[in-house]
Amino acid sequence: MNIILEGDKPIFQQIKEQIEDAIIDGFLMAEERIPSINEFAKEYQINPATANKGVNELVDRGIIYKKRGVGMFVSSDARKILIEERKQSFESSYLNPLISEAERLGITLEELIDMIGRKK
Amino acid sequence: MNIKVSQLTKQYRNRKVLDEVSFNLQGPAIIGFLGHNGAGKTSFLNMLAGLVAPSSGTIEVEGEPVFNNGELMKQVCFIAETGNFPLHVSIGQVLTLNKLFFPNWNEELAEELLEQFSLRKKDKIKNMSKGMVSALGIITGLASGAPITIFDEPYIGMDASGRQLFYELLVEQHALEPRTFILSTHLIDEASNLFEDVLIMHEGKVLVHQPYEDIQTNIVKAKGRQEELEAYIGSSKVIHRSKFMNEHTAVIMHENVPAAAPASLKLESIKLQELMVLLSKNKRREIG
Repeated sequence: MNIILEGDKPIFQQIKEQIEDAIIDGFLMAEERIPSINEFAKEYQINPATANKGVNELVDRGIIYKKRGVGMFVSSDARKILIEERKQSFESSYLNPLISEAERLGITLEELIDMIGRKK
Repeated sequence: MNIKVSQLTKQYRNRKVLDEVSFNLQGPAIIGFLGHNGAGKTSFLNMLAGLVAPSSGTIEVEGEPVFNNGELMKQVCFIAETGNFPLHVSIGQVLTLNKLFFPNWNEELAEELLEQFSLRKKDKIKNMSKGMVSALGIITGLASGAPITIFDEPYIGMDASGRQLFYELLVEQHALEPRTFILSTHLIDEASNLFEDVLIMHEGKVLVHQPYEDIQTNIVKAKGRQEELEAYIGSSKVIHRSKFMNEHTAVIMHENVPAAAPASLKLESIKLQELMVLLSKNKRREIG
């Protein structure tokens, strides 16, 4: 099964996000081994150097770590770090577009809050 | 034009390339005729063009069998991958022959297309590149005015811009004068947006025959946890399963527009080309 990558983002960034999502959604648990660079390259049909670039960024941020000769693993607090990071960007990624679309449609802030309140 | 295929079988020695195939094609439309190598596409197209006799079963165009039917064959223009023209003739001579053969031949369009593809009338087929000969095939098909025009891998040797020009011209001609265009190609991603109807052959059988829009809504790729995925699949057919980073993925062929999936499943549409790749991986599996 090959996952088709989208065209609008650099590929290494999409690889990085796929791994992040897998950790946040609980598919990859702390201390679990993640696929090798070659496995990523094969799965996504990309150059191994590109896969490596995406993975290395996660290594640099302490999300995953390498054990020489064994493989790459999810750090114990990877999920915590990622959720914290995603919360930081939640406003710009989700709230701002929501509010600007609401403004475009003439939905007032009160109405918007009311809608969200009714959701749960 | 109505094409009716009933119980059509074609056998070469002991190899069955088409196995009791039945379907209808209703034009005008641009129809994508797909299948991996050896699926039986070219055998079928040769029979539709009236060039080859079925081993059993029938192909009828407007209610009449096509094989060796001179009048009907003029209504069908078949552009094959190669070998459409004798090597020693010139482009000009090809156009003259076309004019004699096809009752609706559009000379003006042919002249215009020669210019667009930068072909010169005095050039002989044997001195032309593969891409140039392919371009002449495309010109023949488009200018033939034939109510059924078949392009079977028509752009061997043509570069991306040449193929793009072909797609544009095809859409333009279809808009000006709607006909039944059957396009068989392996470059599916490039061409799939042109299709109204898609027919996928697989090991001598018709595996999928649906409007392209239905394929896009009914064949989906769902990802998530195994239990939820299984619940969502229900009794629908699964074309392919895989697992990566503990996430399960299934390509599902629903009979009808599928019910909404739970929010925890990620749903994606699947590209036709990817679908074809998966189908050929599951060669032995019976679907549809």
